[in-house]
Amino acid sequence: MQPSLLMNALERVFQLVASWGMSPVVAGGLAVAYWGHPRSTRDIDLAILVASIDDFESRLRQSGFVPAKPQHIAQLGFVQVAQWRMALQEASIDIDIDFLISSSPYHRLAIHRAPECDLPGTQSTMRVLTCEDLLLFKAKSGRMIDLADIEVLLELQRDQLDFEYLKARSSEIGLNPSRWS
Amino acid sequence: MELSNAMLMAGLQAQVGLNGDCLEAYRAWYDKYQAIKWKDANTEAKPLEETNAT
Repeated sequence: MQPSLLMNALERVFQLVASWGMSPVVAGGLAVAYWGHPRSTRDIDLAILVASIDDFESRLRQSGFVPAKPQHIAQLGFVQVAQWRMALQEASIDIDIDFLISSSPYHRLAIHRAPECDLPGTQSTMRVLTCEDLLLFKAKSGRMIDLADIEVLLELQRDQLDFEYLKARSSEIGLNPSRWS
Repeated sequence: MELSNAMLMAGLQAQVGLNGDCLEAYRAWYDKYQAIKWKDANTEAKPLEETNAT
Protein backbone atom coordinates (compact mmCIF):
# COMPACT_ATOMS: atom_id res chain seq x y z
CA MET A 1 0.00 0.00 0.00
CA GLN A 2 1.31 3.43 -0.88
CA PRO A 3 2.07 5.53 2.21
CA SER A 4 0.34 8.51 0.62
CA LEU A 5 -3.00 6.68 0.72
CA LEU A 6 -3.21 6.96 4.49
CA MET A 7 -2.12 10.58 4.44
CA ASN A 8 -4.71 11.33 1.81
CA ALA A 9 -7.34 9.59 3.93
CA LEU A 10 -6.42 11.76 6.90
CA GLU A 11 -6.50 14.86 4.73
CA ARG A 12 -9.88 13.96 3.27
CA VAL A 13 -11.52 13.33 6.62
CA PHE A 14 -9.94 16.41 8.15
CA GLN A 15 -11.11 18.69 5.35
CA LEU A 16 -14.60 17.21 5.33
CA VAL A 17 -15.12 17.68 9.06
CA ALA A 18 -13.53 21.14 8.93
CA SER A 19 -15.98 22.11 6.17
CA TRP A 20 -18.78 21.32 8.63
CA GLY A 21 -17.32 23.87 11.05
CA MET A 22 -16.39 21.29 13.68
CA SER A 23 -12.76 22.38 14.22
CA PRO A 24 -11.05 18.98 13.87
CA VAL A 25 -7.75 18.48 15.68
CA VAL A 26 -5.48 15.46 15.28
CA ALA A 27 -5.27 13.49 18.54
CA GLY A 28 -4.37 9.91 19.54
CA GLY A 29 -1.47 7.97 18.08
CA LEU A 30 -0.84 10.39 15.22
CA ALA A 31 -0.50 13.29 17.65
CA VAL A 32 1.82 11.12 19.74
CA ALA A 33 3.94 10.66 16.61
CA TYR A 34 3.91 14.41 15.93
CA TRP A 35 5.37 15.03 19.38
CA GLY A 36 8.17 12.52 18.85
CA HIS A 37 6.94 8.97 19.50
CA PRO A 38 6.12 7.38 16.11
CA ARG A 39 4.60 4.13 17.30
CA SER A 40 2.41 2.04 15.05
CA THR A 41 -1.23 3.07 14.81
CA ARG A 42 -3.90 2.08 12.33
CA ASP A 43 -6.65 4.53 13.11
CA ILE A 44 -7.19 8.26 12.93
CA ASP A 45 -8.32 10.15 16.03
CA LEU A 46 -9.84 13.58 15.64
CA ALA A 47 -11.04 15.76 18.52
CA ILE A 48 -13.98 17.83 17.30
CA LEU A 49 -16.59 20.30 18.48
CA VAL A 50 -20.15 19.31 17.67
CA ALA A 51 -23.42 20.93 18.60
CA SER A 52 -25.42 17.78 17.89
CA ILE A 53 -24.03 14.26 17.69
CA ASP A 54 -27.14 13.15 15.76
CA ASP A 55 -26.57 15.81 13.11
CA PHE A 56 -22.87 14.95 12.93
CA GLU A 57 -23.55 11.24 12.49
CA SER A 58 -26.17 11.94 9.87
CA ARG A 59 -23.58 13.90 7.88
CA LEU A 60 -21.09 11.05 8.23
CA ARG A 61 -23.62 8.55 6.88
CA GLN A 62 -24.43 10.81 3.96
CA SER A 63 -20.70 11.01 3.20
CA GLY A 64 -20.33 7.24 3.00
CA PHE A 65 -18.97 6.49 6.48
CA VAL A 66 -20.35 3.55 8.45
CA PRO A 67 -20.25 2.86 12.21
CA ALA A 68 -17.19 0.74 13.05
CA LYS A 69 -19.32 -1.60 15.18
CA PRO A 70 -22.92 -1.87 16.43
CA GLN A 71 -22.20 -0.09 19.74
CA HIS A 72 -19.97 2.53 18.18
CA ILE A 73 -19.98 5.20 20.89
CA ALA A 74 -17.76 4.61 23.92
CA GLN A 75 -16.80 6.71 26.92
CA LEU A 76 -13.06 7.30 27.29
CA GLY A 77 -11.97 9.67 30.03
CA PHE A 78 -13.95 12.85 29.59
CA VAL A 79 -14.74 12.32 25.92
CA GLN A 80 -17.23 10.25 24.02
CA VAL A 81 -15.56 8.36 21.22
CA ALA A 82 -17.67 7.90 18.10
CA GLN A 83 -16.05 5.08 16.12
CA TRP A 84 -16.62 5.28 12.38
CA ARG A 85 -15.13 3.62 9.33
CA MET A 86 -14.39 4.76 5.80
CA ALA A 87 -13.59 2.48 2.88
CA LEU A 88 -10.37 3.23 1.04
CA GLN A 89 -11.48 1.72 -2.26
CA GLU A 90 -8.15 2.35 -4.00
CA ALA A 91 -6.30 0.25 -1.40
CA SER A 92 -9.07 -2.28 -0.61
CA ILE A 93 -8.88 -1.48 3.09
CA ASP A 94 -11.03 0.26 5.68
CA ILE A 95 -9.75 3.08 7.88
CA ASP A 96 -11.21 3.53 11.36
CA ILE A 97 -11.72 7.07 12.52
CA ASP A 98 -12.39 7.85 16.17
CA PHE A 99 -14.07 11.19 16.76
CA LEU A 100 -13.46 12.53 20.27
CA ILE A 101 -16.46 14.55 21.40
CA SER A 102 -17.16 16.45 24.60
CA SER A 103 -19.13 19.48 25.68
CA SER A 104 -16.68 20.31 28.48
CA PRO A 105 -15.01 23.75 28.59
CA TYR A 106 -11.63 22.03 28.77
CA HIS A 107 -12.27 20.13 25.51
CA ARG A 108 -13.17 23.40 23.80
CA LEU A 109 -10.03 25.06 25.18
CA ALA A 110 -7.79 22.20 24.00
CA ILE A 111 -9.21 22.43 20.48
CA HIS A 112 -8.89 26.20 20.32
CA ARG A 113 -5.23 26.24 21.37
CA ALA A 114 -4.14 23.45 18.98
CA PRO A 115 -1.32 24.61 16.67
CA GLU A 116 -1.36 24.25 12.90
CA CYS A 117 0.55 21.38 11.37
CA ASP A 118 1.70 20.86 7.76
CA LEU A 119 1.84 17.19 6.93
CA PRO A 120 4.38 16.20 4.23
CA GLY A 121 2.70 15.10 1.03
CA THR A 122 -0.60 16.84 1.71
CA GLN A 123 -1.90 20.15 0.46
CA SER A 124 -3.81 21.34 3.49
CA THR A 125 -2.84 22.66 6.88
CA MET A 126 -4.19 20.60 9.76
CA ARG A 127 -4.15 21.12 13.49
CA VAL A 128 -2.79 18.87 16.23
CA LEU A 129 -3.29 18.83 20.01
CA THR A 130 -0.56 20.55 21.99
CA CYS A 131 1.69 18.09 23.79
CA GLU A 132 0.25 19.24 27.13
CA ASP A 133 -3.33 18.61 26.03
CA LEU A 134 -2.39 15.28 24.50
CA LEU A 135 -0.89 14.27 27.86
CA LEU A 136 -4.06 15.36 29.66
CA PHE A 137 -6.34 13.46 27.26
CA LYS A 138 -4.21 10.37 27.76
CA ALA A 139 -3.95 10.71 31.53
CA LYS A 140 -7.73 10.96 31.72
CA SER A 141 -8.17 7.91 29.47
CA GLY A 142 -5.81 5.82 31.55
CA ARG A 143 -5.40 2.78 29.31
CA MET A 144 -2.05 1.00 29.40
CA ILE A 145 -1.11 2.33 25.96
CA ASP A 146 -1.94 5.87 27.10
CA LEU A 147 0.23 5.56 30.21
CA ALA A 148 3.13 4.23 28.12
CA ASP A 149 2.74 7.14 25.68
CA ILE A 150 2.77 9.59 28.60
CA GLU A 151 6.03 8.16 29.92
CA VAL A 152 7.79 8.52 26.56
CA LEU A 153 6.40 12.00 25.79
CA LEU A 154 7.33 13.29 29.24
CA GLU A 155 10.91 12.14 28.67
CA LEU A 156 11.06 13.59 25.15
CA GLN A 157 9.36 16.92 25.77
CA ARG A 158 10.20 17.63 29.41
CA ASP A 159 12.20 20.78 28.62
CA GLN A 160 9.42 22.27 26.48
CA LEU A 161 6.34 21.37 28.53
CA ASP A 162 4.25 23.96 30.37
CA PHE A 163 3.89 22.20 33.70
CA GLU A 164 1.85 25.03 35.20
CA TYR A 165 -0.74 24.50 32.48
CA LEU A 166 -0.71 20.74 33.05
CA LYS A 167 -1.30 21.18 36.78
CA ALA A 168 -3.99 23.82 36.41
CA ARG A 169 -5.99 21.86 33.84
CA SER A 170 -5.52 18.64 35.79
CA SER A 171 -7.35 20.18 38.74
CA GLU A 172 -10.21 21.19 36.46
CA ILE A 173 -10.72 17.76 34.93
CA GLY A 174 -10.30 15.65 38.04
CA LEU A 175 -6.70 14.53 37.72
CA ASN A 176 -4.14 14.77 40.48
CA PRO A 177 -1.90 17.75 39.58
CA SER A 178 1.01 16.22 41.49
CA ARG A 179 1.39 13.52 38.83
CA TRP A 180 3.24 16.15 36.75
CA SER A 181 5.74 17.04 39.48
CA MET B 1 3.94 3.38 10.40
CA GLU B 2 4.22 5.57 7.29
CA LEU B 3 1.65 8.03 8.54
CA SER B 4 3.24 8.07 12.01
CA ASN B 5 6.61 8.84 10.44
CA ALA B 6 5.07 11.62 8.37
CA MET B 7 3.57 13.07 11.55
CA LEU B 8 6.96 12.84 13.26
CA MET B 9 8.63 14.73 10.42
CA ALA B 10 5.88 17.35 10.49
CA GLY B 11 6.53 17.86 14.19
CA LEU B 12 10.28 18.15 13.69
CA GLN B 13 9.79 20.61 10.83
CA ALA B 14 7.51 22.73 13.01
CA GLN B 15 10.15 22.64 15.73
CA VAL B 16 12.95 23.96 13.50
CA GLY B 17 10.82 26.22 11.29
CA LEU B 18 10.38 26.23 7.52
CA ASN B 19 14.03 26.97 6.77
CA GLY B 20 15.45 24.94 9.64
CA ASP B 21 17.61 21.84 9.32
CA CYS B 22 15.14 18.99 9.55
CA LEU B 23 17.83 16.31 9.16
CA GLU B 24 19.74 17.72 12.11
CA ALA B 25 16.52 17.80 14.14
CA TYR B 26 15.82 14.19 13.14
CA ARG B 27 19.28 13.10 14.26
CA ALA B 28 18.90 14.87 17.61
CA TRP B 29 15.44 13.36 18.08
CA TYR B 30 16.68 9.87 17.17
CA ASP B 31 19.56 9.99 19.65
CA LYS B 32 17.23 11.10 22.43
CA TYR B 33 14.59 8.54 21.48
CA GLN B 34 17.11 5.70 21.52
CA ALA B 35 18.41 6.87 24.90
CA ILE B 36 14.87 6.75 26.32
CA LYS B 37 14.26 3.35 24.75
CA TRP B 38 17.31 1.88 26.44
CA LYS B 39 17.08 3.86 29.69
CA ASP B 40 15.62 1.16 31.88
CA ALA B 41 17.07 -1.84 30.06
CA ASN B 42 19.36 -4.21 31.88
CA THR B 43 22.31 -3.99 29.53
CA GLU B 44 24.82 -5.74 31.75
CA ALA B 45 26.51 -8.48 29.73
CA LYS B 46 25.87 -11.99 31.04
CA PRO B 47 26.98 -15.40 29.82
CA LEU B 48 24.26 -16.99 27.68
CA GLU B 49 23.90 -20.01 29.96
CA GLU B 50 23.19 -17.70 32.91
CA THR B 51 20.54 -15.84 30.92
CA ASN B 52 18.83 -19.11 30.05
CA ALA B 53 18.97 -20.54 33.58
CA THR B 54 15.61 -20.84 35.36
